[in-house]
Amino acid sequence: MTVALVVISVWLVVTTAVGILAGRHRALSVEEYFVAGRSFGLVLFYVTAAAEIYSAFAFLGLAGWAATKGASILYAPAYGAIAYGLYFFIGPRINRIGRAMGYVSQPDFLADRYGSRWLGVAVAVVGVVFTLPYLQLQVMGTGMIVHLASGGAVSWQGAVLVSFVAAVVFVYVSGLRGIAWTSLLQAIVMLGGMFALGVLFPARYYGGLRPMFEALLALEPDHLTLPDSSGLGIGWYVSTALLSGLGFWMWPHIVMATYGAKSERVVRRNATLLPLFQLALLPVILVGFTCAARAGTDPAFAARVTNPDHAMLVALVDDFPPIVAGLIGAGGLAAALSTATALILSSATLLARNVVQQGFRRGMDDAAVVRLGRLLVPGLTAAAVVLAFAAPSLLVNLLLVGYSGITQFFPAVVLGLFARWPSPAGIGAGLFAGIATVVACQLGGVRPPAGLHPGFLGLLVNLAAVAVVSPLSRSVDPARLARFERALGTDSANGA
Amino acid sequence: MQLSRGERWAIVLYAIVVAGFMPPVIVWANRVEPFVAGLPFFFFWIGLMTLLTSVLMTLAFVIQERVDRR
Repeated sequence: MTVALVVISVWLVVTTAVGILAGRHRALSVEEYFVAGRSFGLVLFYVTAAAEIYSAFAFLGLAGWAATKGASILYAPAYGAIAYGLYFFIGPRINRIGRAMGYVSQPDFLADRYGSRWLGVAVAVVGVVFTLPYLQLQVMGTGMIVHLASGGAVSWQGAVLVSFVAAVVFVYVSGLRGIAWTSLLQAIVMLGGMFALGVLFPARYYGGLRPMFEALLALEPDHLTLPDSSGLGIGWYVSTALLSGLGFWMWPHIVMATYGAKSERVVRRNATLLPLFQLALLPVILVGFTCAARAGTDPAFAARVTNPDHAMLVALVDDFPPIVAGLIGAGGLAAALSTATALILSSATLLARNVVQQGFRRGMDDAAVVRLGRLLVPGLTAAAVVLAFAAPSLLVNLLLVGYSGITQFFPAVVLGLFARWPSPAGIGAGLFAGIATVVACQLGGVRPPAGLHPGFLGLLVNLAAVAVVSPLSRSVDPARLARFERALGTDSANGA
Repeated sequence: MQLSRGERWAIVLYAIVVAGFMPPVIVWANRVEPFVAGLPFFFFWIGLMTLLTSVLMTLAFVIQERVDRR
């Protein structure tokens, strides 16, 4: 066993123990298990959100992209800023309405808001289908980190099995509370790892940032501006930043974290602090650029990096002390597992509560929903592991497939919070048209105009369908609208 | 279901954040020279805007709380 592997293993054991301890001695109600009794204060909410947001993609995918494609990766910090600012307006409302109406999942809100049980079922199914590629990304990232950090001693499949058994155990026992407490640990290790990398890499190989960039520009003059080495230009950059920025808060697991916050003020305060977390992406991008420069000047290094997602880890194991490789591997594992556990929990909630209970078994009681949700935790994890083994893919492709589906909830959620006119049929038609567009582009080979991202094109089609169908169909019952306006505290009575 | 008065102030600040990442600003920032703090300009600009997002949204938070408490 290598030093790096020992460090990573100790880390995995500690995380699992904390996750299990967090949920002991708590009654297993729906609200406790899925949204931690709506009890998170500023710090716990901040780290939960951050650890769920920063995944294996932030650790490996960013560096891989920066190395092979170039400046287009700077869409990631941009979409983060767009998303966090948006959260200032929608986050507190989602939290408020969740508390007032007792929601634990995103389809809970949409089904109730538009008075359509089947809309809730459809949203839950779409949510789970597009969460799976994102979960697969975490599985593959975990496998890569442990496999490469152990110098190839552990196979990536073996690493995946061990890590995900650990993750399933604490999600099963502790629900969202277990995820939050492990997030507190994970956020610290993850951020430490990210910043250490950005300082270590350029200094180790080039003695500083400027010489590294100059070496890179000499090799690939287009790498640091748009269109970059892969030809992605401004149109792609802007549409992908908007797609991801607007879609960000539509992820079912992030909605659940928002319900878990203690108050609206906690949510709003977080909207101002989360952009700071986005700064941690920049050092990882620097590492990617360093790897690109090095691959151009050192053919032996280039030959060892068979997959761009591996670049950072290969360099780490080759040229840094094993303890550093181990700690940074632990950081990457933390990032992957904290997001994976949240994705598993939210998908289990959607299936148990929104598809089974609300769609087909209306008489099912809440204790049975929690039991079923917990049973689904290992099942969903197994599904993602099987997908990862059967159809491995580049990490960023998985991320963007997930986003293009999830962003299609944007009209339903945001219009649901701010507008009266959309009808249930309009929202349903929009969701269908948006998803159909995404599928046509991804599977049917349709090319969107002007280099736009397929998911962004889907969002435009989606909004158009909502606008066209809504005036032609039956609108939401006025009594229902009034109930929501009271809950949001912005009815005409208080003049806001 | 509308924005409060404080939130209307906040949305102005948010618009500045979004504009910093959109054309025409992003077209202007899309360059290597000048290097700032060892970073090519485009990279530096994205980092600066990220930091500025937190500053502007904190300002939005303060203004929003003051206006809406009245």
